[in-house]
Amino acid sequence: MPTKIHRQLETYISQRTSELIDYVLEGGRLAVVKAPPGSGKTYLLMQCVKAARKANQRVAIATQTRAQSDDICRRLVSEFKVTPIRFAANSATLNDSNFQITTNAKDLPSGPCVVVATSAKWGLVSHLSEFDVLFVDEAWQLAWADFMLLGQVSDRFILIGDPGQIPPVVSIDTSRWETSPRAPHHPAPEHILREPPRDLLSLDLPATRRLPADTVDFIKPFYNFPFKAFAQPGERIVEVQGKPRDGIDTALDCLANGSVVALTLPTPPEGPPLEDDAEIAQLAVNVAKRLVHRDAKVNAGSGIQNIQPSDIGLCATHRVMNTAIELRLTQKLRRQMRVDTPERWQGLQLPVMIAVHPLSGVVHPSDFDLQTGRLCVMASRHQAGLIIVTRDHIGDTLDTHLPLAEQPIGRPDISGQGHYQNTQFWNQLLKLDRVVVGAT
Amino acid sequence: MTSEQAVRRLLAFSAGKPLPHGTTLRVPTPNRSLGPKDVLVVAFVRMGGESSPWGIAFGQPGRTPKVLTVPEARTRDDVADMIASFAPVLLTHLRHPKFDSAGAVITEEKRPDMPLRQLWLPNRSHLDMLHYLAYTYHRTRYGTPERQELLQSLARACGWLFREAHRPGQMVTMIATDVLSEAYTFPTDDIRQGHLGFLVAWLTTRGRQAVRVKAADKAEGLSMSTNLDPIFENTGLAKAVDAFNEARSNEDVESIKRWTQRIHKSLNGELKRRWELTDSAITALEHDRRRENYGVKRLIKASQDEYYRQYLRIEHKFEDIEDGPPFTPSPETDRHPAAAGSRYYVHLSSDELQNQLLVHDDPEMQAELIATGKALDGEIVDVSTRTEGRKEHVFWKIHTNGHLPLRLREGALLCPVGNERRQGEILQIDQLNAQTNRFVLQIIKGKTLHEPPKLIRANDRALLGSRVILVPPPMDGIARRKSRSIWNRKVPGSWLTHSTPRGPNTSLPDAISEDFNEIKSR
Repeated sequence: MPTKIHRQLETYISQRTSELIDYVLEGGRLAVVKAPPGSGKTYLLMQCVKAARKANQRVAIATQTRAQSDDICRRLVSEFKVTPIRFAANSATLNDSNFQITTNAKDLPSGPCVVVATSAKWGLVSHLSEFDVLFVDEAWQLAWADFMLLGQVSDRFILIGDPGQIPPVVSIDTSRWETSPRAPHHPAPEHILREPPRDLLSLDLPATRRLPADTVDFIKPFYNFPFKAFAQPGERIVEVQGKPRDGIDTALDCLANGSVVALTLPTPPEGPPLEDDAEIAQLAVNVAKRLVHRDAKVNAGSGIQNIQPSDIGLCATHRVMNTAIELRLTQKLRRQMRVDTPERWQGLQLPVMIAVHPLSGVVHPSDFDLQTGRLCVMASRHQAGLIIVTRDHIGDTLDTHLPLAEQPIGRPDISGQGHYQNTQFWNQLLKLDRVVVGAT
Repeated sequence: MTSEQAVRRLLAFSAGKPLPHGTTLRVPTPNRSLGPKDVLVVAFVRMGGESSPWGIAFGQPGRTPKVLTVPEARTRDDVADMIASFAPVLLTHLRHPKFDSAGAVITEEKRPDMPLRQLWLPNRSHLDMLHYLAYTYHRTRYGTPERQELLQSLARACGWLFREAHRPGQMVTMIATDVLSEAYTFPTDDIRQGHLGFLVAWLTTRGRQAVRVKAADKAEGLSMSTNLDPIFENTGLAKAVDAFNEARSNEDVESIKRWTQRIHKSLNGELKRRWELTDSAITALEHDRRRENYGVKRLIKASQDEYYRQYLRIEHKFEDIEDGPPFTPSPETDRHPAAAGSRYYVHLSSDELQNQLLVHDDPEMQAELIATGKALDGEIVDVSTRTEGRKEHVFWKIHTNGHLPLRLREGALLCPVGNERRQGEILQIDQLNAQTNRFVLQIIKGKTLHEPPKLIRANDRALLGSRVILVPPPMDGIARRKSRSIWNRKVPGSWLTHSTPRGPNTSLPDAISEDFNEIKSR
């Protein structure tokens, strides 16, 4: 039964959606929508795209990965009855008969249409006919330099994204541009919101549809704006059958009365293995297998169902760790369970997630380690339950770490902020007694 | 520190001496890819608590350096005089059009091949001095117009050398400590590797570990950064400077001369030691028996391109299709969005080039990549084909050691070592058993390349059973294309993407800012 708050949230979202659609149809030049994970950002984008297409506009959509482009194309067809054109790189191997795929800009229609491509593809095209409007999905992942290249697509921009998630990945020394007013490696919406043009429309979505109610308390510290959950407390649960035998069972039992639990292994005296932690990888796999073997049931928002292996996702920050996890799964489970980095989990969701804490293998955290984008993504993919596996030093590591505030003068202390947010997250787990110690 | 680096360092501790890092040298050295005249060694010292240089030593390796000093580093005019005396040397070395005949013959259409010119500095504190000179004389208004122009030219040169020092894979601004730390694994921690005397002593002292340690410890006791040893400075030199200042206020010409000479003598020894240590570092590399990595030639070419685009053509005021209008960048940062974006992409491109180029000619680098899971070393166990119309798809199955970590994923591109023209995409990764991983690769480029015996067609079953090392292929082209495209302001969205920043952090004092009009007018 929808509650009063539920109805209020729906009304608010409906008003914001109408506002954005009107803005697009009336020729507004620039809108930025920020929203928490699972709040329906992509859905909102597609609603606007449908309205713009109906009004005979020529619409471009930029995503940050090929998978996101493919996903939007499929959803536009199935949920909105809009037939897009997938503008793909030469090496794209997508094969879908529901929409046209082209690799050549010359083959794009000159009239009204919806064309979906990655930002990288849009940025490298030459001789492009101008579009009426460009939508950018997951805009906080788009670096300003990459956004500049999108200026050739359209003169109107609608950027939608989640400011708490992973910023653009940069592999080089960027000290030269840290004090630049438009640092090329910073997220594009940050620059736009810092010097907003007069006609900017800035909106936010107020609630997450994906996450359980109590998860919001865990990830709130990662955001500078408030938001709620549509799900009621206790509505989303994971329940396992049988009696607990060990730490893994105890942790899984905890998911019946809360959506997040941490499961720790002792840290060896010489410190945790750096990246490839075989014991943690095995623990993550054992948790996944135990969920299946104990006939877990899950309510991910659409009633109680038996959990299937494909309902479970695994995530670690390092590729080498993901490979270690993947190789410990049986061939059958490997085909059913997705194991990936947080970067590639962005935009995706599953009923249950098992995540290796980003600081599990780190006892002297760097600025990079303390960035909370990855942790935020890992802690916001689940609809019902999240099990964090980690070495048990996290609390001590955060307690003893002193952020150095090495940022250039006038720039925010990202590292200190990350340290604070990481500490808040871990303390919340301890405060609610959600840490199961010494899983063996 | 990666586990690979940790192992290397432990091996160096065990050997009790520095060990060569890599089977090839990854920098050009005099008498190999460079002529001795193409190298200029420069060292600085400064007064405690001051930023400006107190003295400069400069010269070509193997020769006696020239030393310039001022008696009082807090007297700006005297320092500017000293810098003005040094400026023609650096500008000639960099072929500034007004100082070098080769640099002057360049036209917008014609760009003759010129050998790479390098600047060697003892360590990073000396690099910071280049930044200081760029800051101080960027738009200096002191002295005659000729003097201003000279100092501003020097500031532009120093600014470019400083910026270039941060570009991955660059071969122009060589920091001796960085080069040695990259070429050798020293049995010591990172911080101590910032001392050039310490590193050179480890490399050049012969004998047992204890002998080398003693020599290195002794060398470490002598300052080699731009700062002087405080005891040395405070005991003898400070008194001499006080005496000089007193003589100057009394206008006592004889005393001024005497104290000037005395200060010069003290600083001369300090500067020469720093300069000679850098010279010794170059000599140590020259005596290294390893050959130069084949990739160095391409990195030299990339550095020559950057030298032209970011220095010489800006001095000539030529427009460049890839790198935009000829403007002098600020020593602080790039405020213009296109300028910042373009340089950002060039650095990304350079990073990709450096990372994926040198590995082809260095088995030790290959071993490091394999050990960290970024490359494959395995046996081709199956070669199969599938025909689709007239097109033939070629697939390889490769077995590798399953105990090694793995960072590669399905969809990743790889190329055989030594042959970037053939590329394959990983379609599938499986663990057959605890010892073996199986990779299925589709060969997507260079299938028909046939240059036996090293390279045979990808579908040739003679490949069965052969060992193959696959590494990530160079991808430098895309970022370079972006660095060019970003300058295009004639795009529909330029009102937003290419607008002049107006928010916080947008204004800089004129003395250190770039001229926006110079950028926008083009």
